[in-house]
Amino acid sequence: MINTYLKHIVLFSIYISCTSLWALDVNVDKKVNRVQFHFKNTGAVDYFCPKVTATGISYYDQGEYIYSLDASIQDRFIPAENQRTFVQEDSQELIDLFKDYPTMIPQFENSQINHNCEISSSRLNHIFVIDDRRECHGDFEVKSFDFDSGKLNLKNGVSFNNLIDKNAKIFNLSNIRDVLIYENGYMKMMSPRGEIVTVTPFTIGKEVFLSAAGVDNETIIAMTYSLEGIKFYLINYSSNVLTIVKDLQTEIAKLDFTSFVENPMNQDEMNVIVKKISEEIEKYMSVYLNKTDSYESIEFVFSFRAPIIRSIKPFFRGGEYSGTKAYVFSPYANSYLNLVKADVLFKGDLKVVNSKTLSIEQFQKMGFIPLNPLKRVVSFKEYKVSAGKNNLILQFKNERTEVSGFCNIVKIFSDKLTNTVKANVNDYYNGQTLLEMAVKSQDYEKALRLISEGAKVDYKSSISRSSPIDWALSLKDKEMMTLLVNNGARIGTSKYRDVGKMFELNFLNYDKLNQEEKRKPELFFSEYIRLYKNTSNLVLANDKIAVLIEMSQNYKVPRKYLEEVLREIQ
Amino acid sequence: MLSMSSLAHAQSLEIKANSIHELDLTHLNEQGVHEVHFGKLILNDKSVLLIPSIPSDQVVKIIVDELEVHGKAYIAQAFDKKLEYLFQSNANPFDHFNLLSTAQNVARGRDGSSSSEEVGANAGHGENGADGIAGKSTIKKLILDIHIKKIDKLVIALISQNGGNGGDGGNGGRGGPADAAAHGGNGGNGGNGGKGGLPGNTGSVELYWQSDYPMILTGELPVNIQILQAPGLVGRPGRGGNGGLGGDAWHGLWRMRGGDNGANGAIGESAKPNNEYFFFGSVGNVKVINKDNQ
Repeated sequence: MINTYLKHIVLFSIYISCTSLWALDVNVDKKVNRVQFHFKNTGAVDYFCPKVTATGISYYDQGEYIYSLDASIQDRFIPAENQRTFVQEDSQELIDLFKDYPTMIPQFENSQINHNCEISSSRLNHIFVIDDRRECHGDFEVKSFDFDSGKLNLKNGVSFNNLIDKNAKIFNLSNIRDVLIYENGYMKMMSPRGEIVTVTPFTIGKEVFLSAAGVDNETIIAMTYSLEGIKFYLINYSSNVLTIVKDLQTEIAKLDFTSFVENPMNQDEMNVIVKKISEEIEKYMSVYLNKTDSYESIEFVFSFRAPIIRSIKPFFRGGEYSGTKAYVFSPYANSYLNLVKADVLFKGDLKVVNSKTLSIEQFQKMGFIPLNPLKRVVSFKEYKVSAGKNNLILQFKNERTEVSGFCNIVKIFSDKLTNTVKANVNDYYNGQTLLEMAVKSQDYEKALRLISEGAKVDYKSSISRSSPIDWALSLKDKEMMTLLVNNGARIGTSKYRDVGKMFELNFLNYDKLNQEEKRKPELFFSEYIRLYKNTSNLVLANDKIAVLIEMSQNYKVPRKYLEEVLREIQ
Repeated sequence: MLSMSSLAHAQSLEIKANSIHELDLTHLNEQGVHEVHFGKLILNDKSVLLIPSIPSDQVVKIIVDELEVHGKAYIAQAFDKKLEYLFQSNANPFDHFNLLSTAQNVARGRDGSSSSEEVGANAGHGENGADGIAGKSTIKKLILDIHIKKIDKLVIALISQNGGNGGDGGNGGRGGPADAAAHGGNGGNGGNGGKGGLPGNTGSVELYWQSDYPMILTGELPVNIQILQAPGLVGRPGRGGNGGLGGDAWHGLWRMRGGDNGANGAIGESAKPNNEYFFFGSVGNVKVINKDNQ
């Protein structure tokens, strides 16, 4: 039965490369109910697509709009001179809908394909080398090269003297092409061509700078560590200026051993050892970033080992062994491994909205990427650049070339973006869009912000199949209804397009309200009718008006009020 | 199951599951370090690459060009029969230090001679217990230079021996009885207990690693590698021997008093100058270097 619509399959294709070396089609599979993405790469270079989305595939049944679908795939590699077909995962909602509307057909007229595909090798676009040339009668210098993936070589080398300290911490930021450098109490941003764009003081005292991630094209979250735990900094990066907007001290990875051992015989000795090990905990800590962004929050995982305290009750009798002794052991020494996932909200506020411990198995199943870059290896897919003492080794599959001319390579890095998948404002979270959540919580400010950022007012939840306007009407939220309708929502396509149904919902228990309370449903219904008429040319036939008037008597709604409201749509 | 082979020139080795393979350390490099080089080393589940007992001031370096660890395996040094229990269970020596190998116990001091037949004679004192034998220390340093091909779980362990217990002091003998002419003899003093044996010290570990594949890390160390350094515990000091009883009193026409009881021996002295009786051996440093990040 589902297949009956498939003879009407509409194909559409968009060339997404100006060179026409590759093309992308989207259609619906004939056998299973899935959206297919067809890639055809006729060129000589590999492509990589972090995310491809086909938005607004609409389904109609005998001309009536039923449903809209966005399909997407992530992290696809399309080798040169190759064709690949990928399918999106099953949509249970669509399968269910086909049970109700077996003749439903997809249309692509209003669809768009969005992607961030790029030539695969360009992800290692520039290679930076910090070279200590003091043993070679030179100075400390930084060199920048273009990575030529075709010839597996480096070209266009440019040197910058004393640009970066050799102990600097350098981070590639997802979503931001510039590289973040932290050194000696300052944050610097460096452009792909090696220019220092901005230098900003960043005083963190006893904290240790752990890592940083770009969460959108102008927001950075930096992380530091002290014995108190992880601290987050929300940093704005726009017009080449870094501004610390907010900070948040958390208790993630806080080390507190005082409660572990009661009255140990050697408390002072233990405290000294704990403190010494704890101060070095950054040696035992790594930070990971979820490969898939959320729109308003970002997920980090902190993996760390903490010192272990064992309390031992000596067993020898006779007095000398009495009491509890405590021993502190190195973080390396056993399996006290901690993996803590923290979901950090960065839009509107900076706070940890969820934090929990993961097992290694759970962590491995999730798509996290390291935020502590290696110093001597840069790799992307099958390309790898590694540093020897005085040369660079470039590798691609079994090919290998060496680039010499260095003295003592301290560190290499590239400006490749962290390979994350950027979230969309219309993405689903547990089956709901962000706008739907804002409407349900009657958060007008947030709803307005999301709409201004491109949230679609007619997106339906994949769970409840309700759109934001459905929720606003069911909550009888006049302000939200007005806000949504003013931004394109249509009452005529909502679940409450039946005026009688809305009337019934709105005036239920009306007779039990006092005079003042009665104003609220009256105003809501008046506004509902006004907006409905303005957006859908609502006209009610006399027989339906008569039904409403009859209902108003049951609910004790003043007839005069109702007639006045309905006058314009008769 | 323990197998032996000379590995000085071994290019590859696979240790079967549940078995222990002891390294033959016959090759000293120019720095005086026992060096073993594997082209390929495959450790199967619950297998152990065991470093034999050698003098504790020596260094062992193991280079592996290609390491595969399937399941949970060990590269370790430990002593005697406890090894198998510790390695092949989830026991953590810090929770079960009494399960660690312990140096051999020494004999208690001999009892003093008794004078119970000889009128008025004083008895012999008990001998002091011998000091406990020091626990074996591990090698001074274990250097591992490994290229990881596959790794499920690797435990790198240096496990020392506990010190042996000090011998108990011997008991004092019984003094001879009094008679009409002589007082009873005094009982012998108990011998002092011996010192507990010093605990074995644990050497340092240097791990240099590299992998072609992404690993989950905590700082420099992959999560699936654990470095365990278990120092030994000091041996228990010997108890003092009991003092001997004094000779019996005379209760004839006139009374003659019996001998005095001998003093009990003291507990063995502390093995440390600060009179501490409960401590572990020293533990060497750990250095972990991710070769892609040095």
